[in-house]
Amino acid sequence: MADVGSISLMMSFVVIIYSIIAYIVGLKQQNKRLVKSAQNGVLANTILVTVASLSLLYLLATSDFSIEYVAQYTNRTLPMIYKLSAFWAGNTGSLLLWFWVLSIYGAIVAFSKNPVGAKLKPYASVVMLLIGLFFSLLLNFDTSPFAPLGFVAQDGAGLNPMLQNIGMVIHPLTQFLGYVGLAVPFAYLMADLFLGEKGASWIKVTRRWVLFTWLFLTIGMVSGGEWAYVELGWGGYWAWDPVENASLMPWLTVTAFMHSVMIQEKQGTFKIWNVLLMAASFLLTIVGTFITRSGILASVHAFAEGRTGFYFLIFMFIIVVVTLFLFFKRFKSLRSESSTESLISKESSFLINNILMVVISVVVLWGTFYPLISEAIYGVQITVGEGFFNQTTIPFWIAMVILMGLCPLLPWRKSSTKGLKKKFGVPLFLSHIFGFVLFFIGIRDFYPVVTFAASFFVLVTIVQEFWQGVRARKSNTGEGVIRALLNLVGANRRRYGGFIIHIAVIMMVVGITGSSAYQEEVLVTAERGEVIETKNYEMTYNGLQVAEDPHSAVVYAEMDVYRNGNFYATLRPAQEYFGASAEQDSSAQVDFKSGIREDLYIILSGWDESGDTATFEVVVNPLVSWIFWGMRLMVIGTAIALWPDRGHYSRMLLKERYSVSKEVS
Amino acid sequence: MNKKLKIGIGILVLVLGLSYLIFSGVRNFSSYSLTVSEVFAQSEGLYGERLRVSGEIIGESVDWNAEEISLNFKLKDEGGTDDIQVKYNGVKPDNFQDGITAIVEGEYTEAEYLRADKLMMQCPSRYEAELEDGSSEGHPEEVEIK
Amino acid sequence: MGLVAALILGVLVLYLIAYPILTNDEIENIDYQQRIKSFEEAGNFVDRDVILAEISELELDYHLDNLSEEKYRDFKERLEELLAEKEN
Repeated sequence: MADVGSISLMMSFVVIIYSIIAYIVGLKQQNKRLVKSAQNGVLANTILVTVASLSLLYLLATSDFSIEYVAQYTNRTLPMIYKLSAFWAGNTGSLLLWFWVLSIYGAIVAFSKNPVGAKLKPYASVVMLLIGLFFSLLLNFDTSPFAPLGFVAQDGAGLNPMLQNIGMVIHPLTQFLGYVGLAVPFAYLMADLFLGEKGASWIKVTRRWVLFTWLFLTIGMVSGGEWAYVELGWGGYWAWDPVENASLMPWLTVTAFMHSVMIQEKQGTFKIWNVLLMAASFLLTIVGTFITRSGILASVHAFAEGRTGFYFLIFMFIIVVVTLFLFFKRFKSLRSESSTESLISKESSFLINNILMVVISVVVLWGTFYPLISEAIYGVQITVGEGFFNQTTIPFWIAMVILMGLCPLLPWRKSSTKGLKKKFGVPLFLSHIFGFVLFFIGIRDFYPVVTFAASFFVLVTIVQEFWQGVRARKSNTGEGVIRALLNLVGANRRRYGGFIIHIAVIMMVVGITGSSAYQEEVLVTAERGEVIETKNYEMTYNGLQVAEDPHSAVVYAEMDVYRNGNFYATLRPAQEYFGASAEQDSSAQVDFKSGIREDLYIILSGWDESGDTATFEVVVNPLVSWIFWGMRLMVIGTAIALWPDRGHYSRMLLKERYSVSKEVS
Repeated sequence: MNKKLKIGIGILVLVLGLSYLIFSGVRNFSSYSLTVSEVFAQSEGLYGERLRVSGEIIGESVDWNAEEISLNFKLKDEGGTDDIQVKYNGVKPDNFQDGITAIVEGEYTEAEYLRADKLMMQCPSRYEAELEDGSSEGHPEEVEIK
Repeated sequence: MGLVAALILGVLVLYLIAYPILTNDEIENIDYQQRIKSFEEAGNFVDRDVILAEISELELDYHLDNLSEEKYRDFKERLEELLAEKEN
């Protein structure tokens, strides 16, 4: 099966080169047959890469230990789901995953039926193929997942215990779907610049695609945090690690892009800005991959494999040069005539929101690469800790939350003070009251109070918006409240889907604020029968138990937990031992009880030989579950915004043609 | 004119605020990344500095006190002989074993040990290393892969 | 195993990329089909100029031999029908 995989990878390399040439020649000679052939070449490539990927999955599933990759990341006793997810556990496998997703997206681009992008489509396909060519080169000539081990191992090394969690399935897949997804708008952007289309069509073609990509970037990032939280056993979900930052930066720039694109759609301004944002976003995904591959920044996620990182550096350099070349070539045609008229308008608040996101990305980029910057300047690597990122970005995050309340309600162009009072009077009043209530119940730190009050402000503005919409609809159509609400959302999916996404973001903001500002942690060694107290919890340590199955052995502590004197839960924090040699691979299995108010989170860290005393780390994490529920709501909101309208393409096409014919006549 | 001025002032405030935040952030939260032998070589010059050191854990030096919840151990460079003492008030993380690379962050004291407040393990690459070492020795039949 | 797979995949790939070049079928069909359909669906929102532009493009493609006689007549008829609706 391994030869099937490597043969299809090799053939895919040839097909990619053929398709690129066929596209270029076909487009130049206006030979539609050749272009069609190239388009089929894209499909052929997708089939080949799919065959290669399936054969790797087959090798992993059947534990073929004559293959180095299989022997490195799996063993016989591993459950099937983790055998399969070992696909992306290592460097070369995750490159193949990237390539696979890219090829599928490439076929979607090449066979897209969206009439607006018809002209850009073949050119965008060439860009997709060129990106694919890079990965094909790596997988064929640098590091292949199908490389033989040279002998047949008795058993494989097994998957790192920390990777054996459902997060291993969700997080990398969604992260990759998101990362690679940015290649599509980037490809259309390059096509647009190349053809001198004035930076308008690519935005229309890729609007929904960007939202789709953004959703996966969000799920990837948050599910990564959730995975760390439930599995890694340090009570947190985010540590400003270089690799985490690498997923945050493109998320920020894409979020900024999704907002500024609305201005371009409405007014035709901000073209240059949008071009730069998308190019930066795509580049940042490559930077992210580069950080993991090169091991250049000490990270807990690093694969640390030598040359791959160097090739990524070359690839990044080429992207930057080509993008800048096309950008300056088309610079004049991108410049827009009109500028914002009033400081208090949707445009300018969007502009500020954009600036904030970009500022945060720049700060994060600076902090992430500071070890390299400082080495270049001072000759010594200096790393900045979590404190740096928190201190520098928190003011900007808060400003962004406040803007989330303002932006959607401000009118385009200009606004009168009277209209503003009407819109913001109630939310402002209520959020101030809310802030004072917080102060009275004892939440008095500056940042948390401001953040909570600002979040409340946003929530009230959104509820008000829904309410006004429903009321208007009710009086117009005589529908009931629920029916009116459903129809309102259904008729303006993009707008109300956006509001739901904003509520989800607010939930996450509240969760992040609560858990980072008010986390309480105790480290304690307890004897059997001893009661551990923290906050309003009392936990009794009832000794250790052992549970064994063929795959692993689990040592767990029984803890009866009381909250405010009432029985709350029995928690069983554990250490799990994998494989035969018990002492070797252990991993903490935290146990926690999640609640709306707070999570109680217990880690069993160690014990003495008799099991009479054991050491625990007990963490009380306020509001942390809000982050993960916020993510789920965000998926719903995005689905609403993305849901296709009937006759969507027809209307897009008409709009496009209509505007063209108007210009002509 | 008026509008441009406002925008200009806005940008100025933003840039100034941002650079203040960045510079004070760097000053307060930075630590030097050094190898064990570098710390060993310039020991005295580093008293009171915040360091970030990565090195292999020396298994026999690990001393874990459950009562006080303190973890003392030594780190060395891969293949090196110099070592430094680390004192950490916290629990052993997963995979805290001999030969595994740990990253510690904390203040280097005059008593020539590192008072760590952060201890991280670098693990995902570990399995690779084991297997590669084994196969490169040329005794494939004898390789013991767990 | 590898040889068989290579053979099957090779034939498939060659078929895919060679077919459009060697065949006599017109490749433009799908595009026009799609576009005309969207015109028809959109009904009265269509601008007269848009249909005229579409017809001229159709004719150009026909003269460049990208379209069979039969398809060309069919598409043109449908477009002219739409145009006639406009004129009324």
